[in-house]
Amino acid sequence: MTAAARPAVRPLPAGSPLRRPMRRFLAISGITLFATMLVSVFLMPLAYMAATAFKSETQTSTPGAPLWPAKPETFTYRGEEYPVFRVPTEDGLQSWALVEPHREDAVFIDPDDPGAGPITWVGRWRTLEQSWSFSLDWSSFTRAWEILNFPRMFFNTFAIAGLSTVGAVLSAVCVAYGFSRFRFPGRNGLFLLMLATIILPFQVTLIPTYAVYFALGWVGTWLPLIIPHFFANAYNVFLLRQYFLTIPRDLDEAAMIDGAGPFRILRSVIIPQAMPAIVAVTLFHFFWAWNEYFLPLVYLQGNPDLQPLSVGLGRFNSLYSGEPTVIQAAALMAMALPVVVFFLAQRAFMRGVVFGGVEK
Amino acid sequence: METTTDTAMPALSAPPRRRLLSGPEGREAISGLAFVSPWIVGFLTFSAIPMAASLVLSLTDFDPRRADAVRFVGLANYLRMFNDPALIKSSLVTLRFALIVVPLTLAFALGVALLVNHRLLAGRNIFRTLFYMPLQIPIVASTVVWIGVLNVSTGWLNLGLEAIGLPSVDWLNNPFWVHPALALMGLWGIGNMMLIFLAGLQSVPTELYDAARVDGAGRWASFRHITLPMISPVLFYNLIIVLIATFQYFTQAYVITNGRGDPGGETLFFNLNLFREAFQFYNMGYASALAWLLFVVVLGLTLVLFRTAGRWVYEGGDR
Amino acid sequence: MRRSGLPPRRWGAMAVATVLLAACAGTQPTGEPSASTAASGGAGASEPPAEAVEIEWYVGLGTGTNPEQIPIQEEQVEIFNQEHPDIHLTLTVVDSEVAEQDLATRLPTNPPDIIGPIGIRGLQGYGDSLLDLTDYIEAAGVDRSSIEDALWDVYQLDGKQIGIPMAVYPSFIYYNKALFDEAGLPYPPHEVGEQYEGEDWTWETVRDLAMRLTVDTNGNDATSPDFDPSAIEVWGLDAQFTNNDPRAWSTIFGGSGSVLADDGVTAQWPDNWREGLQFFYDGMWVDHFIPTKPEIDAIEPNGNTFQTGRIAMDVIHQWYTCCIYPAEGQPPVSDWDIAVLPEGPDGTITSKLHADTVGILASTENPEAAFEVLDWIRTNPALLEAWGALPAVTDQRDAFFAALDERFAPLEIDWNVSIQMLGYPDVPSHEAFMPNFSEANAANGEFGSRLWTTDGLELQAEIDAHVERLQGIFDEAG
Repeated sequence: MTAAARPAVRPLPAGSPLRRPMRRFLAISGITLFATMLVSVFLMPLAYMAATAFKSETQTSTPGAPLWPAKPETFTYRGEEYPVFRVPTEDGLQSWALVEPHREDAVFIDPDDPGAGPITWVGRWRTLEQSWSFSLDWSSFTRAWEILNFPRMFFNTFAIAGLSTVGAVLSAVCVAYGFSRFRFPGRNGLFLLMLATIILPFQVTLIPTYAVYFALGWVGTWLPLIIPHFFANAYNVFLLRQYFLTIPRDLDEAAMIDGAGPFRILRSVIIPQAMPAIVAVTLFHFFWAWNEYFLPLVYLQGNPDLQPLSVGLGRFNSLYSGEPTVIQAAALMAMALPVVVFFLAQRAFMRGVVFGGVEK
Repeated sequence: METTTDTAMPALSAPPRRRLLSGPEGREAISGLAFVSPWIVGFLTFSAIPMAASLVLSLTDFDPRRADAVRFVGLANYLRMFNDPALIKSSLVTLRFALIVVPLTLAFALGVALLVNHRLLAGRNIFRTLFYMPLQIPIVASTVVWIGVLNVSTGWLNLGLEAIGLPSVDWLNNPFWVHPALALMGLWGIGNMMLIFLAGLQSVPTELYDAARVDGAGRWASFRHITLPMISPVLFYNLIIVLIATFQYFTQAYVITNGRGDPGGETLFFNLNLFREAFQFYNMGYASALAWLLFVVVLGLTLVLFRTAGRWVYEGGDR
Repeated sequence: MRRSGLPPRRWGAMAVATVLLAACAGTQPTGEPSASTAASGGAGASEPPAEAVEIEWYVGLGTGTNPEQIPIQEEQVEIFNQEHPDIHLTLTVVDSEVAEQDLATRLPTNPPDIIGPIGIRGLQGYGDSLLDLTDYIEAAGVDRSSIEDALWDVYQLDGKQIGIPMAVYPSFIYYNKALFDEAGLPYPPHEVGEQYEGEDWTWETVRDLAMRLTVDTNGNDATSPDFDPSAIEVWGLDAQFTNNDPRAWSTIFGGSGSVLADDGVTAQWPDNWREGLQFFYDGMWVDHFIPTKPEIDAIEPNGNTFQTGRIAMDVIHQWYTCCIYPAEGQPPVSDWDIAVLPEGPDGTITSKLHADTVGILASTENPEAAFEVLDWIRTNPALLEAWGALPAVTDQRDAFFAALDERFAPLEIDWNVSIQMLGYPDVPSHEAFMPNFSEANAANGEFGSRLWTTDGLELQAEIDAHVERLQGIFDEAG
């Protein structure tokens, strides 16, 4: 997998008809094919999710229904819809509509000749194959759209995740810089204390934390979901610190000789060098905030107008009327924006761009 | 505390302490503290009180439904740990799970990161986006998906196994298979780790590979001697984070089994047991004590890792 | 060990008070508009008049969280606020999955005023925190005789009346007519005492019937030697939404009973419960006419099995009318009715009863206003209908059934079955008190999960082991 380190330079055996572009093409195809296969298996649950979202509630519970979204072929006879089955008869396989099922026989109608009236077929209809045709059922999407105020919830989610990400990234860059580039008394102790905040399970600090935010008058607002992130959390700081430590000191010192102060070194040396890590922290935090469920639920309950999508989706998972197809449809709709954001943002990971000029 | 941390973190060499906060060192210390101060303020405002409160609560019989009837019980909650079969069970379950999941997740995330960073891979942007996608599915939805995928008779995973001639498995109801099933679900969420590895891979100067090639190093050798050391800081980060996350493993186990620890208590993870004590049995005092037990264990492990870090984690910019 | 002048109790209270309550000193909602308005909002979008009392109603511990129910509740709250300028009622709806955890988080600092609808089991958890309503019931002149005495007793706890009976939900058999028609079998009895095909209506009769209704993909029913239990399309019987509650199963199939002997300390599993549980276990794993947990997951992960059209008979409560046809989309079950429960091994009929009420948390600052809201909720026909809640007030029942008839037209459901079943409640309740309740309940759940997912168990030995475990948990209660 580390072939990146070794582009195809080894000469082929003499007489090989393959030319270099050809070999390169084969290598690209091979790796891309492997990646495609891997990602196909990896995303199989996502395909399941999409298939579920496009199925009708009926299909999910019908025995023998296909894995892909489909609807049963039906025939309307005297105002009622009946499912079509493939029925073996003396004249070969017929597509007939099942009007009245019994155990050992069944009454069918021939859609090609409904005038002929009901046909009694002797045999077990449950052994017959039902006719399905590919069909996307959009009703789960429309139902999700009708019940949840999607534009409002999208806005809420985006605002909460966006604002808290801005705070989280700015503060983490600043604090990580302090931890990685300066010596001061108690530095190691403070760093350890910071890690300690994420080691204690949050379940036991939940009630006191709620008490603090309630005392601040923040319950029922976005503030508990945004403001604390402006004070740097351990996950982000730790990652950036690790990354800053890999940036050679020579660069800071060169800048310092030019008379740069700590802020300018941060801005002109550290941040540009650490861009991949900063982008990683940004994405990391943004999608964490995007999907965070329990804290928004606790702090925004009773105020549906302020709730993000993650909380709204819970409505389709209520105790006695779970609607799996609607949950999946709503989740797919909720995903559209984050996927685009990610696709655009990850371009920051272009190999070599950042460190190209650094001779180490 | 101070002395242990200093020796525990050789990666951060102990600062020479002459006259505090005067001279060049003093200026440096002031700058450092200034940059770190946002976190200090945030800690004092938002984290310190709740953490201290949970420590105090661990010495009481606090029941959130009867907060006014709280009693101080001394170390009773801590003594109770010596006679709690659920604690032993949940600790063993968590340890066993961590032994599978921590190495597996790290290796898979690193493998995927190398793959989607490969210069010969066409459409890298798309692959990165695809591998990250599961993290963008809300937990309410993804759990329902996995319950469906892992179903014994209709799940796609078993249909796939049957298609290639393997027997189907009752993933979620069989005490043996439930850990592999949860590990599989965990692999679905490697996106962040992959992202962090990707960021790390950007920091490896291409020149190093060129030089190695000139020296005749093979693929494995350049991976072993260039890539791994150069990304060791983020590898270290991922290791610590996945370790903490695994010891706090909770959400998936909770939703899959409705918090019961089925089947046969095999998903009664440490934090699930803690949650049950806190929010189902309302023994918040005991739950807090359990949390502090976990805290001490994980902090200890973290310290050990930091102690070894000097030997394998490359920190070019440290002093 | 302790020499200090303060009793240990004080020390604990002080320590917690220092850390916890110091944080929120002086921020009690009274006179602090920032906190109180921030915590509310919700359905009452209109600004309350300055002197209005804030009352928060918390929904999520029972029914009331379905997407169809929420707008009805919001609408009714809006109406209430228009009619009561002195009270500003706000509605908080929390996902039932996390409601208990959420409520526990809020209780010490920011408790709501009213919680509910909440069932018998839920009240065991919050009973001590609820207000004694006795005086308010008297002051408001609530007519006690409008509700059966037995129902009042359900909400008596340590001499406190912690709720007014609001809704009762007898259980009975919902059956899918199409599946009976296919099998060519007559529908089950609608009257107590009626026979089925010349047999007394007992669980033995139901077993035979259910096996004939259970069909595999080849069209063989469960009585056939060719029947393939790994490819079942239709099951004859289920007791859906009982999840993994062995007390519920034992009660349905075995009659009333208790895990607690009369002495109040000894754990037990009475003989009729052993027989009932054996019926259920064999129904799943030996005779295959009841779906197992993996089978339920395959057809309906949320457990709403009757709605899939693959269950012929299902023992469910009256509240299931909340969640059955007519629903969105094309329902697989378009023609159904209800039938009476059979006689159990103890020789009597037992209809497992659920009951709902709303309670007032004792911490409320405005008990009078909260009681006014409670009294309004419990008699509000629109809310009761949305919850599928058969009113506890007897003379409201006809109107309730009439509203259901309208909803389910053109089906004509025989609600007389429900009325009859109300006469056979489980006493004591299958959700009744146990010492060390939460832990005993969790142990029962683990036991239930094991039965629900594991083939080939020696059931009576399993029960013995479970009783022993329960005894340990009861003993810890001291």
